[in-house]
Amino acid sequence: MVNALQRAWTLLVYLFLFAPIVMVVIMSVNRSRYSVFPVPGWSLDWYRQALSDPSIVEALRTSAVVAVIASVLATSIGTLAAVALVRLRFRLRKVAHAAFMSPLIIPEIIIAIALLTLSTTLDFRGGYPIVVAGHVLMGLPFVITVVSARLYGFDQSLEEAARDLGADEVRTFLRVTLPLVLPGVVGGLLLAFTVSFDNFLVTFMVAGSEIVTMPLKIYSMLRFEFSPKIHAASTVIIFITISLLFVYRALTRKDRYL
Amino acid sequence: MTASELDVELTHVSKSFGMVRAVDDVSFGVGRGEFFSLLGPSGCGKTTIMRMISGFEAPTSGSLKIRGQDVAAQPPFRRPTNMVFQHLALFPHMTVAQNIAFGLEMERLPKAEIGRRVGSALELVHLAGFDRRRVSQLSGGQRQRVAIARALVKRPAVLLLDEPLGALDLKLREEMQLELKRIQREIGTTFVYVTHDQKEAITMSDRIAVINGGRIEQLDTVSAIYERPRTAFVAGFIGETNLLRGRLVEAGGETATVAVGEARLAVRPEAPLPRDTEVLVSLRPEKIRLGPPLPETANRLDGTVESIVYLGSHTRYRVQVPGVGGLDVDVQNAEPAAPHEAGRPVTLGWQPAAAVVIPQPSGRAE
Repeated sequence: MVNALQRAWTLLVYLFLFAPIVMVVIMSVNRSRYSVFPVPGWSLDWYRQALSDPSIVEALRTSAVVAVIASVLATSIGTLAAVALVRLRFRLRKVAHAAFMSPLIIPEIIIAIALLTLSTTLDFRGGYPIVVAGHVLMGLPFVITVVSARLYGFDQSLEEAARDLGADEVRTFLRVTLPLVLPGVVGGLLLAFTVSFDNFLVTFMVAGSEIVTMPLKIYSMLRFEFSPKIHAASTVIIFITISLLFVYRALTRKDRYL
Repeated sequence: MTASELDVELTHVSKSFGMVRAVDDVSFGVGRGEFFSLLGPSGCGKTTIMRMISGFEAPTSGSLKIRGQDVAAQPPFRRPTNMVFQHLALFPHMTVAQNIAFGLEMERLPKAEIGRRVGSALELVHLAGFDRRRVSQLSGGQRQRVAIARALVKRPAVLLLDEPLGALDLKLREEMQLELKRIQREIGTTFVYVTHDQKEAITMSDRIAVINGGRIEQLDTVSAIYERPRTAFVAGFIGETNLLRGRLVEAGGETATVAVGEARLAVRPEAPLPRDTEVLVSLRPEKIRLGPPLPETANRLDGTVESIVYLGSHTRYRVQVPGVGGLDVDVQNAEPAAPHEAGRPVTLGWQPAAAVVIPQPSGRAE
């Protein structure tokens, strides 16, 4: 009895979480122009239309390029920052940690406005650099959190052993620390990628007119010409995000040793 | 032993962590090929001494030489020492062979030589054929051997071992003690071993430094540490002993007399002591004879058996001696002899040379 109730409750929670997403997927294969239920018929036409719309393809490409650059940068900086924050004892360590984490706490709109203000002041408006910089900022707290967790669960005598066996700091990091925290680094990379791929507010504020990422494209499509192409494009994004989750699982499955 | 034969030499080394003095003016030398143990309770500073030798801690003061060279300025990866860590610290993402090869790769040796030396290191620790195994596929004893091979393959001047056997069960630990001793004899490398386990230290060491409160209590050969402890701490920490507090009432010649309560005990101090010296008499349980006294036993005490504990190879009696206190006496179970019964009066006897006299500096308790 309790079991059945528990199951029903669990089902309800999942329904609540995923029903909107499922709706988007269903509507993307809906033949009708209008989002009605029950669906009058099935069609992949919206996908064909979306993927033959050069502006949508271009937006997808832009998003991918920005996300790849931003996530690689965020992961490199974040991993080194995590090592410093976890391993070293320096003054202002807590301040530095809070600063890195602030994008999680400060409302994103404020960060977006701050970036805009900064870029205007420096006369550094629009273009990839400022968009990428904003996305790196948003991705950093995720990378640092995931890599730090890995570093805390790390037997430090392994690093001492490496040094005892003749490895200097750099080689200790490359041969021992990095391989052992790699699952965290990969996880951070994928998180930073999705954070960048999804980002709307910061991009919207700083991108200027020539850079249109996928979220910006969807937003403008919603405003000017509603079409189920949006559902198709959104489904593509959902698919990419879920694929990344599986990639992460596959990459870290060999993680037998911790 | 001349200074040039010393592999490790500490001179007035101290180490403070903030206000805490972990190591306090320690000096000793370890000879080439020696099995040297630092023995003491946890927190006594022995691990800190080892970490200073390996380079993970820097002495606050004093000098530290390895093979005659001052190593104060050398980081761990430049020192000719290698360490077997307490929890072994084997690299989990590498195979056995990769673990052992790691240190040689750091020296940028040619591949062929690395392969050869890894092979002979595996043979040395009796793990030939295990090279492709992952660390997680090994038993506790095998991991131990890999850790030893990984450190020894570097051919260090000194191998440091930081209580590496702590995690093993008793049987395996005893096996590994003999194994370590065999390896050490085979390659002749200087071993410095840190342990809190006195039996372990006694089994393997040539010499032992007993550490307490950051200082060396006594540095001696194994038998001297056991037979002639110089402080009450050493007498109590190494093996078991009865400590009787008394005062020297008669001095002169080889033997002296100590008053313990109402009893007068004949003793043989190492060095002549003045009358009225406060002393502790340390008397090992196995050196006391229980039963009808032999004519030549100089010391006799009458008491009552209080308790009996059967311990397999021997039986421990607790005997209450009026005016002296309780004494532990071990009797070998050489034959299923008629045991003494609790509550029975017994006579204890021992020779003057069986007891050790430890002078107590006045004003210092224990």
